[in-house]
Amino acid sequence: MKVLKDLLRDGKFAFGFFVLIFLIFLAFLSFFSPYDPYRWNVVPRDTPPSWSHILGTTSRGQDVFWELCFAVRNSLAMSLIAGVFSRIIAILVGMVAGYRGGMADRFLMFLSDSFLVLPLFLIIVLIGSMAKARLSLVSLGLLLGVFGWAWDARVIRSQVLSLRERDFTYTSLLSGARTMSLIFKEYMPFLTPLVFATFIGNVSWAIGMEITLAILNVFRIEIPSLGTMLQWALNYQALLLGYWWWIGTPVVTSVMLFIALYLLSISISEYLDPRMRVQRIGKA
Amino acid sequence: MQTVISTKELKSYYVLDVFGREKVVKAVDDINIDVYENEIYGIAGESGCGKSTLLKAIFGIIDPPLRLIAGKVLYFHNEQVYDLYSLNSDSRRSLRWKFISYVPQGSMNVLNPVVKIKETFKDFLDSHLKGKTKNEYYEMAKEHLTNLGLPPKILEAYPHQLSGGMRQRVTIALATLLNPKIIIADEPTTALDVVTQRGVIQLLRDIQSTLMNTIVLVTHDMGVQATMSTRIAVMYAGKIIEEAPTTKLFQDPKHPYTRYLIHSLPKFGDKSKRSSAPGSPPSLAALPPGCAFHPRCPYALEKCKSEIPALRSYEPDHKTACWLMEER
Amino acid sequence: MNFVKRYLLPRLIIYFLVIFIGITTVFIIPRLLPTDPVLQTITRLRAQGAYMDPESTQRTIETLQELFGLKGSLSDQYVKFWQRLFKGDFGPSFFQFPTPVMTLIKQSLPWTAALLLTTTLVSWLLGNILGGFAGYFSSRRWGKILDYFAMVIRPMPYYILALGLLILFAYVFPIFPLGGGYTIGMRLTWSWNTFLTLLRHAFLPALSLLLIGIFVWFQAMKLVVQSVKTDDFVKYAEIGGIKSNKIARKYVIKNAMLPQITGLALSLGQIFSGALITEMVFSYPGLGTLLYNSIFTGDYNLLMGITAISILVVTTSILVIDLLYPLFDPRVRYK
Repeated sequence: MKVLKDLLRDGKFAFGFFVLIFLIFLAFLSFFSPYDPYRWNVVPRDTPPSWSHILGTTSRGQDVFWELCFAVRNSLAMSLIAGVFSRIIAILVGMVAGYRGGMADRFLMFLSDSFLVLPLFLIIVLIGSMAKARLSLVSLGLLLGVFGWAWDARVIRSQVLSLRERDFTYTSLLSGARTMSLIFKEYMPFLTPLVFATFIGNVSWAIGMEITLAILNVFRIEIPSLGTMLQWALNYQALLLGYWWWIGTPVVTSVMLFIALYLLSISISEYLDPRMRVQRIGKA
Repeated sequence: MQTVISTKELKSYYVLDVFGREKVVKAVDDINIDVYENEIYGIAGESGCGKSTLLKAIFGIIDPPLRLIAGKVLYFHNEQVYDLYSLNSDSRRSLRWKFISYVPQGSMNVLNPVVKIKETFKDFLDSHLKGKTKNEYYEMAKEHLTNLGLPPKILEAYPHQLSGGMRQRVTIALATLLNPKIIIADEPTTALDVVTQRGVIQLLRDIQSTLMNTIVLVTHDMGVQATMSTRIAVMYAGKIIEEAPTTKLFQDPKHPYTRYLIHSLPKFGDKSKRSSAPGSPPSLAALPPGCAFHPRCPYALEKCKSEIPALRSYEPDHKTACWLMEER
Repeated sequence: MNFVKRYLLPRLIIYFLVIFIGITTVFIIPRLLPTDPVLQTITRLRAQGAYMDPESTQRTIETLQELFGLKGSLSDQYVKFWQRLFKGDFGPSFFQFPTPVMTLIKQSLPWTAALLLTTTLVSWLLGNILGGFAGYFSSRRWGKILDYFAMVIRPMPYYILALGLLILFAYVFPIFPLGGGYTIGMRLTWSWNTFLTLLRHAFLPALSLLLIGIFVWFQAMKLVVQSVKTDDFVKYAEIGGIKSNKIARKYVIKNAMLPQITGLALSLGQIFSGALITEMVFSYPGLGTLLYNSIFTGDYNLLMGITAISILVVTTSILVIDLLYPLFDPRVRYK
């Protein structure tokens, strides 16, 4: 709680935090939606924002506001799955590679190198375009998770490498602690902030990826998400027809979401890096 | 004796803002020293006592979070007195290397790793001199190294190709490049092996005796202080607690802390156990009241716990800051 | 010799291994997925109203399997796959049948290469130089202004930025063409006019790529500079009274560039992904558009061909950068 209070002093963090809280609130609102997001023509079509439909309605006869709530919920859920799943891989790979060293390290780092070098995006698109009809939110999250760990595993590995050299490792080893319990008990507190910072970056990447895939039409378009919302609007030429509320809503929301996540991640990494902190004080 | 540098009630603190709470580290607290021409002035003390910060303040490199709180630093150059902190940055820059230069800690990587040594020499030369071509600068660097007895071909090397001792010699050569009146050396032998240390010390001494300039030598190593310095100031917790010519200080140390420092040196033939001061130096962020040394001092008086002793001359050339001296 | 053994050889081995893994992935993925491209094609043909009796259906299936490289056992297919790859043959495209995939790629590649390579390199260079100076002189106002720009532009999804530029400079203020790589019906000749037209068409896509690219590098470089700035050799140069512009250039930027060179190599890996969206938004006639069409039409041969080619191009360019790296870092050169 104290950490949060400290962080909230930073304007960047405060902004990001409140935007995110607001969006999470929207996501929860979706459970109280009066409309089914999968059904068309539940409201009059193409009406601009008014009191009964605060963000207007679409050419599909859906309410933009409630559609947005579902979209935010799905996009956040999907990106959380991707973030958590890739964190698990990244932590395991990073810890094993950093702690074990030797062949295990070389093999795992080679693997992560290949992931960094290969045009993963194309491979994801390839998979997406072939499995389009079967790709659910969860499986898209898992798919993105499989591809999103490589860089962060490297970061965690280098942190483990430096932790390994510290005294407490030897002390615990000599006092007979089991390797795995040592890794999790002793290292996790040091790794948690790092994992958290990379987690935010990864979530943001996953949301962006979903938007891109939706626009490329390789994700199931009937599932409401930030990407598919935009895709529908583009499909119906909302831009040319001047339905600004329809296309503007997902665009503004996702831009805000990205900026919020980005500000959160820089604010947190500044908080974690004492050198940056001193510089910030120096300037003030 | 001609004074070259003098500090007047110099105070320089680190002011850290730890999320709303201000934390003050009194690294240099009310320091008055006069450094004379043609001497090696040693500043001794344990690590964390403020020696390096004092050097920074003397040199005029006060970067946040370090702040100058009060006091003056005076440079005496070409019959003129310069008040360092009232100069603008350009005139401060122009005094560097021509009047006062700096030899960094032996452990630091102060040479740009991606350019050859000669480039660093050239950068130093063309920032302070004008109107010469690149090749003339290289020639000057070559000549300077030859004068110091260093092989000129190291100019063509990259820093990582040189040994630690050679790199330290290069920094000494850089510091003497423009023949400054005063050289400030911050732990120049730390992190070097003993043999290399000797070489580096010898080089500094040779330079001093030929140039007849001044060296301010900061090191915690009392052995090095004994062999090099002509006068020594002992620092403890941001203050100078004793100052005397080297022989005097070693023969008759007045302050209990100085005695500990000197007695921790091994002596030939003496097999008794070396005693060092009990406890550890106080954190500069939370100093004890009164004399900062009193918690570790076996002779501490009641007075020591509440009042700070001033640095006074109890004998000619020998200043001490200790209440025990008053009691005598 | 030592250099070859310590530096060159490991990199070459990694290079071939990565290509091997990448190509194998491209081979495996379609076979792992539950969808059958042959059946899909048949279904589509039927849906388009083609009547097929069982016999001709069987024949079609066989032909399709042949074309997709799906004939025989998995290992046979795998060997065949590599054989075709070495010959640069990815089979015919389905939707521009029977044009070989390779021909299509050859037509599009120059467009993408010219646009993406130029913008990647230019934004890398500009971003790093700006970021280097802004990072070193962090209290100057222009650096802070750039910082605010970066804070807004960087997290923006590229697609939205590109779309925004297109709306602004092609619809609202019609300064630039709405899309395409050249004026329709124009013949490409070696003339000043052609060059200008090409430039005019490439301007918006290039601008969108540069904007994002420059600020990404700007921020990355600023971070590196933050730490280089506190390095001993920079502090020492400052103490030594070396002029600050020289310190920024020769001490800070020159050193901070080194990790960025590796970064450049990695960013080249994103070139083809970048092309996909850029070319889609600006309907630019490159590999991205080709890829987009192949996705839409389910042209697997084309899709796999492009992916395979991009793996080759990307890994090769990373290898080249890796091999050039010692030129910039004497510490690697003289180990």
